[in-house]
Amino acid sequence: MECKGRSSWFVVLAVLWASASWAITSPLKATIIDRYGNQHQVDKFTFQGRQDLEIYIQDQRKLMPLEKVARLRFEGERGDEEQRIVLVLRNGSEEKAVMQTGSSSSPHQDAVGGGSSGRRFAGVTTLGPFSILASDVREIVLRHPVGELPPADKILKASIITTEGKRFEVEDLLFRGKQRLDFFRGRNKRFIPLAKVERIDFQDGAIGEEFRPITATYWTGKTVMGTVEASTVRLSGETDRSYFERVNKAFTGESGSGPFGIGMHAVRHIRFQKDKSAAEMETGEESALEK
Amino acid sequence: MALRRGHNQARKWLLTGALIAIFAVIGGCASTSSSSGRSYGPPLIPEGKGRLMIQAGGINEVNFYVIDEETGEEVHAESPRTSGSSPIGYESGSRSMPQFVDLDPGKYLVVVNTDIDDSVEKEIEVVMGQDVYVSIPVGRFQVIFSDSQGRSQVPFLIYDYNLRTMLGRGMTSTEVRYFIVPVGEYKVRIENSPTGLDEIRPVQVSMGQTQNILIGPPPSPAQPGEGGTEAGQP
Repeated sequence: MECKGRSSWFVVLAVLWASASWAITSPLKATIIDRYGNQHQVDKFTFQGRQDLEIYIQDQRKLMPLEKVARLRFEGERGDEEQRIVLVLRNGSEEKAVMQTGSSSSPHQDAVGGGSSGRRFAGVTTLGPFSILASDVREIVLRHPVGELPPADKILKASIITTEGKRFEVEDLLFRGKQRLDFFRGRNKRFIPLAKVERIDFQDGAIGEEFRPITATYWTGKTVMGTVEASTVRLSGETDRSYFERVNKAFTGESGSGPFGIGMHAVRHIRFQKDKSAAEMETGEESALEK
Repeated sequence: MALRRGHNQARKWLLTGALIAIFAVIGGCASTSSSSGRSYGPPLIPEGKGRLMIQAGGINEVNFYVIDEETGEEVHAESPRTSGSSPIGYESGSRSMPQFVDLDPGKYLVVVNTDIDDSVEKEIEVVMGQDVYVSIPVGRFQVIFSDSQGRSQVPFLIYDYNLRTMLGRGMTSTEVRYFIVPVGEYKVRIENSPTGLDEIRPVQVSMGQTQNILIGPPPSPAQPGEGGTEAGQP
């Protein structure tokens, strides 16, 4: 009797599990136009299973989320290893970049296993699974949900005070090309969204240590503590360029006199300026609450 | 005639009995918990919660954490793997089940840390009493470095395919050790100035596949008289 009860419970649970579970896939839809002019309407659109593109803008590597892109045009030839692309973003701006599209379709002779079949866009059409080599694509038009606003891009303004006491007013501040600061809490990597932070204070690490303790204070008053990598030691295998960028361009932006870059070892404080529109919105909310 | 009918009746009863016994055995085996209290599958979802299942192409051990999108607070974290550049890291075994976590219903951001600077993030919505499978596009590779002494530990760097940006560091191991990175193409570089070694290898990482990069001289074939009794035979 007990066994019967058990088995019936199992059947009920199995049915529930089968009907209730689902997989999170890409919600993106796109129209892909190949080099022959054929159009393909694709759902669950991804690039190599990812929802971002690895591109180079002015020789700087950047991961561009597909949800920010409205249109993508390839301007190179099919056989090119890397092609010039034109990205039309959802906020209306246009970016010219370079993207790897060809080559590497066969693994190195010393590689065992793995291997890829080239860089591909993939998705699902009404006829079934769909994939196309990036080198065969001429244009991609992404179809985002009607009425959905594109992710807002804030331009961060901040005052950076160096360990030598110098002060720089910087606009469009980024940490290694992103609007977030990667840090370690113990041995666990976490991030701080720079748009939500009021200030970051950097303390001195012990002599010879590669990490510096930091304290970040959010606009909400919350504080987060951790450590950031601030090594100035050159690693074996590091190229001149990557060493220079790692050590001297942790934070980048635009200052009054031109492009700005500073290493993690040289920063003492970062004070962010509150976005005017956000401040106005907050004061508006407060006054509405008072009424 | 009556004897044959009796025979058939008995056979029918026997068959029915056998079928009931088989179903009972299957029902017993299908139970998720045994008398010893050990479970053979994921436990039931607790009341009022939903379940997030991490699908990382067969990799059942990734470092990940979950942030509540409403409050911005971290609600769950798991870090079973050591850093890629740690000299003590190696694969200690394989978990049979993917990682999962039971969460209150709501919207969350799942962040999977990899062995390079790029992490993989997915926004999800957990619904009460239901499983949500999150597909994480990561793959893994292994760098096997050997010298005259056999496999050894050497540091290496992970670059993007163009060798423009250094994305992370790693350390080879004498044991089996995989490095988890987002799906894509990379290059690894091992440089040792005193020995004049400078190797750059492309790495192609696909979801659910593992690539082994062999650097160093190939293992020499067994010489006569080494290991085995065949060499001693005339």
